[in-house]
Amino acid sequence: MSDIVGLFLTFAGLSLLAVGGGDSILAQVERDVVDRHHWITQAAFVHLYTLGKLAPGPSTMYVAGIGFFVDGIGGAIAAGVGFVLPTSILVFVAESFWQQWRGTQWKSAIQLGLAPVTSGLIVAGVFALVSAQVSQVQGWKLVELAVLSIYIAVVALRTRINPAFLILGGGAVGSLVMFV
Amino acid sequence: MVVPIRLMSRGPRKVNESGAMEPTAPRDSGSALQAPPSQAELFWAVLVIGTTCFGGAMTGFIEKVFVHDKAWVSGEEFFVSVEMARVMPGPNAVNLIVLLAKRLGGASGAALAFVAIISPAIAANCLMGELISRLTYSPAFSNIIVGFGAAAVGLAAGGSVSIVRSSLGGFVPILIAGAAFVAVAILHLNVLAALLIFGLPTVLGYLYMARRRAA
Repeated sequence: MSDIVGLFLTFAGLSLLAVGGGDSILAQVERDVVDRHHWITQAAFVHLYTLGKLAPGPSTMYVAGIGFFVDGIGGAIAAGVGFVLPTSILVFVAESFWQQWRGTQWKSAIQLGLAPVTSGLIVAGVFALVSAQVSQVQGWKLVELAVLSIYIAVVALRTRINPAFLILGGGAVGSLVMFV
Repeated sequence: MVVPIRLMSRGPRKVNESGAMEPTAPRDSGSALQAPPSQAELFWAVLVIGTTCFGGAMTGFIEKVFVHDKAWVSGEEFFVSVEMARVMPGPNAVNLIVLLAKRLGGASGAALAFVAIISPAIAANCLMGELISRLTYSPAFSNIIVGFGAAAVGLAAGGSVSIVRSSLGGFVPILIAGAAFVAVAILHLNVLAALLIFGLPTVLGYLYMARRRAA
């Protein structure tokens, strides 16, 4: 029970920091669930994040997988709902004021002013994933997988292929690299 | 996040006293907005989105359903909602669905849509969690999941490059982004502290510049 409450409160608090969308707090999510609460290992974190990309719906719902790992279905609901309920209530309430607010200097200042820091945070999230990935492979396989990652990044930037297909195709090649 | 989206320009809509939507005159595309959906229709439409949209790029999918297929909201309304969903904290897709559902179905519509958009994802991620907890000690599965991880890392890296490109112009923003990255990734600074240290002064700086320009 205390795990369920802890999951809900942890993810509820994290969600309010996600000013640049869900990916901007990836590094903090990893630190909280791996280092602070010791709920899952660093490897399990990147595994859950990876498989979450193959799930339908909002990609940030990989946190439900973390909750499931900790405390079954109740944990998944606590983490998943906790991660989006506070921000959903906030956006629901703020909608009433948005029309007056959207033309103001404050709104543009917040939008422009937070863009640099959230960019840095999103790259920090990628760094956290890379570190977790690097801790699991050594030697030539690591080099081969790094080349694969860069290739997928370029394809994602240059084409409009659905990311789920990129995970499936890239994952198939990556698995081959690991087995050969 | 300052990410440009394709704006479908549509005519204005009529709003009645209570703020609910009324069918409007034909727009430039020649098709009219439909009457607002019932709660059940709205719930079902969002559930279908939540179940069938893979790969995370949900905004375009939501636009297709709400603006083009069902014609429940105009392109302009959709654009305003997307902008707000991106400025507010939280996952953009969930914010967007809550905003659109509030417009179409009030508080109960928003609550139902909230459940509909996250439930399929939570159920699917339970399956993923079950898979990992069962198979994590199998060497074959470990190889496969590490291989898939490389693809996921590449995807995240590609996404971050496109966000950085679209939101960073000029020397000072790049410097701030770099400092925030080093502080969080290398020095393990808390994200809340990073937002206060690197975000707050920048926001106030932009506000000051805007005020001075206006004066």
